[in-house]
Amino acid sequence: MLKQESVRPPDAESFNRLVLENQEKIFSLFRRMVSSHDEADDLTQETFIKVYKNLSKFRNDSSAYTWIYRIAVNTGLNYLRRQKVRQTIGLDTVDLAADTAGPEYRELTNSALKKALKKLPSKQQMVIILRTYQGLAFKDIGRLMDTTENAAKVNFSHALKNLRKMFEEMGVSYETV
Amino acid sequence: MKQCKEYEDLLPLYSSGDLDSEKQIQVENHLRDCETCRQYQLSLSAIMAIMKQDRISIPDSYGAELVVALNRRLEKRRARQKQLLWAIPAFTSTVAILLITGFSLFNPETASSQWLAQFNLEHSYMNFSNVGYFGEILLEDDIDAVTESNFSTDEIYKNAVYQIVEEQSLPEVDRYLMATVNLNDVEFQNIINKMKYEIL
Repeated sequence: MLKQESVRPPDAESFNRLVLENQEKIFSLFRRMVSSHDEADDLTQETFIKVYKNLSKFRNDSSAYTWIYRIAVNTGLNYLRRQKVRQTIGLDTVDLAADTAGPEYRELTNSALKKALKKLPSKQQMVIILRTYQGLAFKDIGRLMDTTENAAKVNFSHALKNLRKMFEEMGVSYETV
Repeated sequence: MKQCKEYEDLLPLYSSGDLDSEKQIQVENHLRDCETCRQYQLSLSAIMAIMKQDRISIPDSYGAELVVALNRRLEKRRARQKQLLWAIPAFTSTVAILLITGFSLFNPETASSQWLAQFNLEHSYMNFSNVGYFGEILLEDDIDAVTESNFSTDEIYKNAVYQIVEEQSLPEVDRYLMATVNLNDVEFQNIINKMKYEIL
């Protein structure tokens, strides 16, 4: 964890260090939300430009890591909200003729998962990503998303139940998972 | 005794291992007796497993490439900031003049196409790219997004003038950006006051 002293003054060296120390978590957060590496890269850059612009506002009451994460989560939620307005992705049925033990089936379930995740409401999608992929505790998720720990848990429960419902609609079999 | 519906609400958190021990025992006891909930729980755990299997790969070179890309963008930003101070007087005076021109157009008693032609000739030396640059800063929270957008300098400039003339208000100013060109709060406020005085 970085201390405040390490991010002030906003010189190139300390900024570069902040980027290098946090880029992996931030990029992987966005990579779960979008379809391509380039889109995730755009959002990562957008986040770090905001970090640079707001370095003077950084306060000592949180770690640099939490502060950057918070900016990233807000950037991600704004992106998801914009996408929800545009997208009309349908849920295709998964081809159950594929060998359920083979890599092809795993690819199909992964593809179904990505489609289903995109269909979730923005906050549910964000909570699922933060809890399942980023491994954050609900207490931290609540803090990052400006909500309570309990609200984050409720969002997670709804998200998982919604994913199950969409998997059923797509005809995904769980037997071999 | 809890009904299946209530357990259904707990099962997602049970599947992710986020229930406290007391609730976890309650759920496990119920799952032993209820086939429907057991199947439901298995499907949720399966989805969790699918998610955990889904790996993403980040190229080893990504961090270094990101630093280079960000520094390039910030360098462009700094270059623009250097132009900011001497762009401000050009912006304020040009907007003031255009404001007068705009009001003249709306007032039939003073409007004169001849006068306008003369005015444009007299002020043709003004560097519109500078005022456009300042308009950029005024209008957008994220300067890079604007710079990399398809807006022309003239469009950005026209928007700034439009907002000042039509809405009788100054566009939002990026205080942080102003701060990075070494303006303290008093100097910053003086510039804003001067703009308000000269323009409005």
